[in-house]
Amino acid sequence: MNPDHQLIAAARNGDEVAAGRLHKWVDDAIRPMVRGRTRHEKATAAYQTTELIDRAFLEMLRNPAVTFEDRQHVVRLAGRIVQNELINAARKRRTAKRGRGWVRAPMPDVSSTEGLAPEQLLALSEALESLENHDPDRMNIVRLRYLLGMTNAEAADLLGIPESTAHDRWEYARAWLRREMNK
Amino acid sequence: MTQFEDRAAEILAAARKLPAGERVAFVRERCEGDDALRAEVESLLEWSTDTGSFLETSALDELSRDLEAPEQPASIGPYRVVDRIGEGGFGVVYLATAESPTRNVAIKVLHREVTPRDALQRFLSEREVQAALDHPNIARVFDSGETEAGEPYLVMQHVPGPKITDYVEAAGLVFEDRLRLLLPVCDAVQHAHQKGVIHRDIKPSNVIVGGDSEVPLPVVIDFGVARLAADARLIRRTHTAEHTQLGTPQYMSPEQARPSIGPIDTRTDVYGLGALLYEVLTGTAPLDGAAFREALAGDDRSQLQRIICEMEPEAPSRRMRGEGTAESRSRVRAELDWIVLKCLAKEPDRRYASPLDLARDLQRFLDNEPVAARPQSNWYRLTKLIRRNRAAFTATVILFAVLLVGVPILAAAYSSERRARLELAEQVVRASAFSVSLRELVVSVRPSISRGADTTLMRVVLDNAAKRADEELSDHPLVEAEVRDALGHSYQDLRQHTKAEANFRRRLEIVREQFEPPHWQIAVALHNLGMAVDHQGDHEQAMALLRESLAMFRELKQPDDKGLALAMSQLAMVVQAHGDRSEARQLLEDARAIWVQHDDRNLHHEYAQCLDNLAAMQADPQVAAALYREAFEINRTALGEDHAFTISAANNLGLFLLMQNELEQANELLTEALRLRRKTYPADDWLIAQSARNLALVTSQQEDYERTHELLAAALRGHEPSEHLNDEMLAMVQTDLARVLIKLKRLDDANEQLDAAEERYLRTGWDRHPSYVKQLRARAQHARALGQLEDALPILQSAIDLAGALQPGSVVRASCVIDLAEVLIEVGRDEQAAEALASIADTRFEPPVYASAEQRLAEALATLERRARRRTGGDE
Repeated sequence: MNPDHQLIAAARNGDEVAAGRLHKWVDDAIRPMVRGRTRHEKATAAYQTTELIDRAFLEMLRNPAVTFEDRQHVVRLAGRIVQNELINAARKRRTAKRGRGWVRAPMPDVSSTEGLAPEQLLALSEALESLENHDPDRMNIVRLRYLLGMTNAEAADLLGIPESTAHDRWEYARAWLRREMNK
Repeated sequence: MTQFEDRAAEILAAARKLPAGERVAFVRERCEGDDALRAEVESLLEWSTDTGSFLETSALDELSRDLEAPEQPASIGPYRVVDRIGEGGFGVVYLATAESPTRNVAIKVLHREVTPRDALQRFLSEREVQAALDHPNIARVFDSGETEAGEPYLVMQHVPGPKITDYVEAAGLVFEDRLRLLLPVCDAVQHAHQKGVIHRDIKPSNVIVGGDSEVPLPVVIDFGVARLAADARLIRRTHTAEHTQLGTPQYMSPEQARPSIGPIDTRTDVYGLGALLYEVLTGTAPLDGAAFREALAGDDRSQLQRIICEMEPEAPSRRMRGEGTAESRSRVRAELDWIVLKCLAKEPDRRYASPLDLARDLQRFLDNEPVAARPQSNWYRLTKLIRRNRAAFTATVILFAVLLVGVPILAAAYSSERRARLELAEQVVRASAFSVSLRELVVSVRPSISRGADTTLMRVVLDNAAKRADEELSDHPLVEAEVRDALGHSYQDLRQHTKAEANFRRRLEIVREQFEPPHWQIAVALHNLGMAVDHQGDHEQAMALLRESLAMFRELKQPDDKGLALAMSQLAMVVQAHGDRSEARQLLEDARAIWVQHDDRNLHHEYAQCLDNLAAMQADPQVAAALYREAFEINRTALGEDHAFTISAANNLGLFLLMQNELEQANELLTEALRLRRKTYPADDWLIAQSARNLALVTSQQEDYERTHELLAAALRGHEPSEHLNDEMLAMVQTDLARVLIKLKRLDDANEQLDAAEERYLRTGWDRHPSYVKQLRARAQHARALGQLEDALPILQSAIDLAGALQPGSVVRASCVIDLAEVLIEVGRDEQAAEALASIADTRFEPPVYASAEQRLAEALATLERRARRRTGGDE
């Protein structure tokens, strides 16, 4: 079931039943993507997923430009939300640590995203933007694997491509993004 | 553009598969003539080495690492913020100071997003009610308002101090003092209930211990806040009830996890108090197994729901750290377990009705008075276990495979998907307390429960488990007792009665040491041992044990208990077989009287068994048939058609129908019973032989001798004398086989069987048993078939004498007399024949299966009359 425009419009106008149905649809679309990811063993995973769904749902209500015709749209939206959250997190972290007068420092090389520094997160975010414009196919795989935390197999399955292709694209994108961040 | 990228990606991927030294040359070769492509690939190749874990940690984890703390405001309303002291799913808690009167307060600021306006309205109006909650053990609500940003907040009494679980640990309280600390908590919750407020989220972090070390003062905080959050989510998630989960899953009641179970009411808080009690006593939350943590980490809501609604918490005594005397521990174990588990019952109706009732029982416990809580009875646990195991059958198979050969071997044999499940299973085995897994494991491989699986494997698993119990459980007597019980039942299912008896006996020893009689543990142990001893053939000892058990059940004063009914029925069976038939009948009638008080009796195969046994004692075949049929139907519904008990019931009904001469129906049922037993039991199981023999009785009656022969030969074949299949039974099968061979005119074969049977009868002393009458009649039949009529006569006379000695006036004796008369008629001694037949003139040919004997009698009499008439006619 895809939500039709009437349903979205009704939800935007405050119809709670419509909103409930829309929320369920978003939930159904997003939860399977991020559920049962074995790499996420933290108890916070439950909170994250719910949080992500809620934000996607609110974004849907808030932004009239957002349309939803299929799951790919939702995936894109969810990825976009995570990306925005990363930027927000980076900015807040930066403010918290250094106060407002912070100037961009020279980039150290990134070989890990484990605890990326705020400046690295911002650079990564910009790199993701260029990848999106430059090479949407590669961005798809990054969106699913990095932003939404899926495994290679899950991402390949969702995109309908062989796992080896997904893997090649992922490796390519990682190299590309690293280079871009250090330009 | 993407063509270029794709090509670059392809070359990059191929290059990365080569050894580092060959890559540059490879790229150069593949990009011949396209410098732009070559430059791109070489650059990317450089950046693709040593990428480490770049981007491998998902952004979601990155975000969760530091969910950004909102900035701390300087003040909220008239209150000056001092510190941020907490955070929950619905808001942030600040410590603040109030001006007049000067005091510290806790301010809970709710996220605006999660607080729809009407929920807020309701909350604010309820604040009035909460303000009316005037109890020393409830945090007061002073004030409420909205921040500048429009976020609603609540001002509450600030209770400095640790949460209750930390307090009891730090203070090192003995368990009695821990219980005393909970009494005022119960009282506080009861007070709120009387004012119409349900807490909904009772857990350790919501009970703070203030006061001083002399007089600790537990205070319940956050009354009604959970309700607000619930309302908020409810409105945002209409139609998504299955995804709505609030509070902390460890402490969530089944009705909160799955609203279809029932409404949230005061008993929801009783559940919360039980969980609190559990953690205060043991240091861990009730549902804290590996499976639970796995589901929690994986955000697997349906799994969480299932666990909350189905998984029985481990008895708290198993998790309590030892202190106090052995005596006090064992008392705690029993009674305190009941109290805690009664609070945590899945069905609200099984819990205490109110916090007050809980507090009273705790007080009784502290005062050494008998508590009101009772253990879940065995039938309840059994049905739960069966239900769960049936659903989790695949998991069970994997589980015991893990136990048996270990993960590495299995993992090698399995696909990656299965491997993941295996690893999970191993974790479960390792992480859950040994006792629980072992016990459930053993129970789950019981043949009557895990149908049709290979019993060889089960035997190995059981022997392994028994060995582990010997080695690992000596320090945990009560655990050992439970495991022994499960092992005993399992061996019993496999009819390894010696092993079964040894395990039951060990259990009885343990519980006798651990509990003061009368105690249900002892009663159950006596009962199980009694049954095992009976199977071994020591009926006197069996009856003594069962009577002691029943007396104890009676002493425990639960006149309507299903366990008592069960004990009665089973004693009845033993008494009937080896003792007093009327006593047996009385016991069964008593048991039935208990059952009929229970509306759900049709869900219990134990009730079916009672009916089944009672049916066997009925004089009126109509009544008996109805009882048999009811028993069969209950079993089929309650247990499924391929369960051992259902098959037994089918078998009994089939035999009854045979006696009623309803041969077609009997054939149908017994054929089905045989098919199911062949499916469920190993090929050499005596139950299969028994089924085959029963069916053969029907087919023989139907004069289908080929089929009869086939069945009996199968019953005989492949039967090494096992523990249970003894000489007597083999002799009986051989007699039957001889009879059908005679019908088939295979007289030499028949003779061979008769000789073999004869030898067994004499060896076992069964030549004084009713089945030997049959053997004698078969001998005579054989002689008649050979035309040696004079030889048949003395044999039949012995048969008549034996039958007369065993059951004077019986229809069996009458049948022998008819046999004799037939031979006498054949040799022309009509007078003797008439005399013999006259002696059985009063015989009632009941049950109807003896109609054929009656017919033979009529025919013999007719022949005699005809011949007499002819003789008289000749005279004239």
